[in-house]
Amino acid sequence: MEAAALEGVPPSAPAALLRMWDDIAPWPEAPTASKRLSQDFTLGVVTNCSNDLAARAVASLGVPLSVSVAAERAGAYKPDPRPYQLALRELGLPAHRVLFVAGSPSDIPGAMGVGMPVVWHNRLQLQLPGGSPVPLAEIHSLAELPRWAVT
Amino acid sequence: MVSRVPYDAILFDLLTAVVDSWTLWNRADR
Repeated sequence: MEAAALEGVPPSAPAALLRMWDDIAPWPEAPTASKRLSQDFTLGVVTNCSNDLAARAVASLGVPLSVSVAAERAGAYKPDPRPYQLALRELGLPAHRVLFVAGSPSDIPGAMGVGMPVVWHNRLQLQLPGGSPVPLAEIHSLAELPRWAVT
Repeated sequence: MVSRVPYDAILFDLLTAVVDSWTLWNRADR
């Protein structure tokens, strides 16, 4: 939540967010899409929050994940390379064999910087920031992901 | 057209790519 303060959000917002945290919900198609993808791929998440908040958010998905790296455990916030690198170590895979699905634009250079190909799940239809590397693809729903991940 | 290559794993950003933390942030930010 210290990161939130740095972003200029109201002082009350982090506490309010924590109170509401268990209301967090996956994107509507996420459970079905991730269950389908889990038949062909090892799945994991990398996230800029505490271990506890990450575990609660993962639980809302309802699909078991093989790797879950929170900033607290990695000792750094993305786009620092350490959270991505820790996830790759735990997967035991080289970066080029792991597709990273970014949500916010800052993950694009972060994940590409450690060598992962990136698909941008641009749910809010944001603009790619100037100077950003270009992701492999841009999707607006996780239902589109198999097109890019399944050969 | 970008060629598709096989992957062994997929990593997601949890809070924006998998779950909708945007909505929660907007509620908390009011």
